[in-house]
Amino acid sequence: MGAAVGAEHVAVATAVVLSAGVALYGARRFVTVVGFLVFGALLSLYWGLIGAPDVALAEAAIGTGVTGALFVAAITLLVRDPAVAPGGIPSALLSLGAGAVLGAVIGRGLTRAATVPAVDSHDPGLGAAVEEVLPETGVSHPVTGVLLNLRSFDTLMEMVVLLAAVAVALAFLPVVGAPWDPIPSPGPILDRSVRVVAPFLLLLAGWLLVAGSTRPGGAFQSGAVLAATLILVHLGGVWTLRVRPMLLLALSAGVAAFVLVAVAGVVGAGSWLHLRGAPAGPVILALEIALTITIGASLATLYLAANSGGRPSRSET
Amino acid sequence: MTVVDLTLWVAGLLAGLGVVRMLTVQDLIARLVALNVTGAGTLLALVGLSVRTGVVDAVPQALALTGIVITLAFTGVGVVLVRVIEVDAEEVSGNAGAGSDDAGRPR
Repeated sequence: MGAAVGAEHVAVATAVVLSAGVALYGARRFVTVVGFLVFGALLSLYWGLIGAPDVALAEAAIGTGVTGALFVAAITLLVRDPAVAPGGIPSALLSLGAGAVLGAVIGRGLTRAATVPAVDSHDPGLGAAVEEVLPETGVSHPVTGVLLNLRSFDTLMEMVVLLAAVAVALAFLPVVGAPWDPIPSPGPILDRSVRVVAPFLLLLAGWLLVAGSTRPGGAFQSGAVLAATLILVHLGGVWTLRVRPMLLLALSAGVAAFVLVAVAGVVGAGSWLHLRGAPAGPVILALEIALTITIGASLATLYLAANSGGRPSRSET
Repeated sequence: MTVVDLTLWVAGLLAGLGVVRMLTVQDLIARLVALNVTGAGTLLALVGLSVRTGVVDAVPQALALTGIVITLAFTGVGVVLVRVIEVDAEEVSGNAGAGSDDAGRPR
């Protein structure tokens, strides 16, 4: 990919940096959050342009979709809408200038660093090594193979981090075991549209899950769609999500499944998380189903926990 | 200029702008947004350095995917903490008078 830049690269890159400027230096919280949403959408477009469709999908679904929902929930829940920078325009300009200088230094350093090992004789990355062992991993899409087999320890730790984050969010619930309130009166339009849309979202989540074995997609993107479905049916009042044993089970299913695979690796092959050959395909699919459930439940729980507790005094007035 | 160079410049600018804003802004939500922008810059640098070769390198992309989920996890915790700091403390100070005023002031 040492290709020369096209006009579309430059245009999207410029738009990414400009929208980041809006997100960072918006005068009010609302401007900041909307700027961040635009930034995320443009960034996922840029990920697609440079040939990283998996990251683009995850950025759109998780980095922008769910994160954006969290931020929007926060600014509508919090009563005050303060000006972000009390220091005024001079201090904002000073910090913008400092950031631009620092960014230029980092950019210069990175581009210099990129030229150093680019001797055409050897391949600096791990791409060839991954391609070599890919037939053994049970999937044909390299990113999924790395995530769920070759570097499954990273993904296991990621699930632990996610579980810890959900535990913190649940710990700060105002009343233990209090249900998260759905929208008081959804109205016929919201109710019907949720009932129509939700099955299709579930279908999309399932397709993304299965597609991950052979092409961009997989447990993360599918989990994000599942989380969106859960939030939608909860807020629409169709089906209420609350802290109950089933939810706790779903939240810990990912870690539990990974630990099971790790122990099975020790018993079967004498090495933690070892997974090669014929059983790898079905095991990875099962693992992905568990991960999708956990990620979906975790993201929905994070959102609803962040969204509960405060009195919505702003919407009453 | 190649795609790699452009990506790395964007990554550097995002990380630099984001980290300075994160360290200087007072508003807590704006600080979380800045942290997210910084994280995006970091991931762009990671993947940008890896698209130099002809073969698509799956390892940095998988790391970036993991990074996106981790970013979301700490953003969620951050939003919950902001809610606790601003809304719940406000209710406490509203009920108990000026005694617990310090707890409600964002730092």
